[in-house]
Amino acid sequence: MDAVLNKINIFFFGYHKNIEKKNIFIIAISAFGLLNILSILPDIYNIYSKNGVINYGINDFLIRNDQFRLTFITGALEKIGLQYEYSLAIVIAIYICSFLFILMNYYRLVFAIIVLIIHNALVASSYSFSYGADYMISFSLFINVFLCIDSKYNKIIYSFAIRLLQLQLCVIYFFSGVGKAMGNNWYTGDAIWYLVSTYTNVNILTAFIATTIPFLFQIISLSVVIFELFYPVLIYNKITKNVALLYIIITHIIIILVINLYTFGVVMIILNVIAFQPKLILELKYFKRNEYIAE
Amino acid sequence: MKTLKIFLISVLLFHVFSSFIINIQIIKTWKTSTYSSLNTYGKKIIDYLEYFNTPEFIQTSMRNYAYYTGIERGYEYYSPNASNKQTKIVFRNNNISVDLPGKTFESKFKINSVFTILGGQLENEGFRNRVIQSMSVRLFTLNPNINHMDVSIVKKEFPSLDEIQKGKPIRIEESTVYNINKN
Repeated sequence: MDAVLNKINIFFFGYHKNIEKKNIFIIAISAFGLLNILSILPDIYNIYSKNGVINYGINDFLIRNDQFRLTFITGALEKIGLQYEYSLAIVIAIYICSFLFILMNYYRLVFAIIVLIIHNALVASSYSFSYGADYMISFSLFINVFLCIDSKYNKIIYSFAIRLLQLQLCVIYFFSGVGKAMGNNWYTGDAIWYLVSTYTNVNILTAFIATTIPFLFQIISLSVVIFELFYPVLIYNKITKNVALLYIIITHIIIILVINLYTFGVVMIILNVIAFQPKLILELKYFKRNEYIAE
Repeated sequence: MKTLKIFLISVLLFHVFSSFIINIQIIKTWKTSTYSSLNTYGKKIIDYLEYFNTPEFIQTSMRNYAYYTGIERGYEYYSPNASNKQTKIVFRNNNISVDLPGKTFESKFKINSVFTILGGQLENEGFRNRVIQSMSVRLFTLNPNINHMDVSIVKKEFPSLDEIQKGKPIRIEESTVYNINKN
């Protein structure tokens, strides 16, 4: 019994690999969160405003009544006499500044919590526009809160955060694989063809593949299903770990290039790198050079 | 130290357990939505999951936790089957397209993903009308010179890889549903 407890203890709280790079992980998550909001800044009112492309009446119909959303914050600001437009601008400004404060290592934990709360309010207020990437960013910001805790229990909390991230990635890929394996068109290759056609206009290359070498779509989609289903096994096996990581990173790069899901692809690569810490990437000169700056 | 470890282990177990339950609940909804499009094993899994029930109060606490951790929507992307249909709402003024806003690549992508995210819900006429009304109001605000717009529903249906080999083309169907004036 003691041996089992000891193993559990070591697994969850004894993972201190690359703890000296913790700040780089915080910077990666926060910088990406900041870039994400900056990349949609010119359309903030179109996306998040209660009179945006999808108004708040429709949005509220799609989410739970008690779900925390932007109008809860802007409503409070309006009560003290601010116009709605200014209230929304203030919330976005707080969100952006909080990222900057995290990057500057100024009351990191406090601002990591603020960022998480506002991000979730933004996602809930734009349900119709929020796709996988937004939810993955939410989860990365949640992990960021744990990484930002600076106490004498640093090592324990770091280990817990990394293990939580690892297990969550296993859940993500496993259920993604289970869902696909229950259908039909992931086996025939049609799924990949439909996704490419839906997200990008059919071009010469995709039309050529679909007409002359359709089995290429089938190979890709079958490999996605098999890999996702077995990700938890492959990633925790010492022999297959590096191949699995390489496969997942390449797959996300292909998703970025072919379907143009930039945000989703990049956030998944960041999460995988932080969780399973491939030497190939973490020992790049850039990360070594910045270690002492971050610490 | 021991208390902290127990607390963290509890959080971790609750997190993983919540994530599992949420994903299972989402898969269970396929019983009523996409059951016929599942393969034999898929149907068996759904039938077994019938017996898997979680008390309402546990579900509620999990949902609240899941909301703040970004795990509430599950991970069954493009499952069980990727859709071969695409529905878009198109706005035109004097036959010139009035595009939905989006000044950057990401915001354009995000705004246009409304058609993927709402997907099937846009088949419901009442809901679709609310969406068209909301979009029209925004477009009139952003384009003050426009006083009139024609709204069309464009439906694309992609043939399967097998059907492509037999020469079946992509089917595009467009129908004008509304002529909207500013006031």
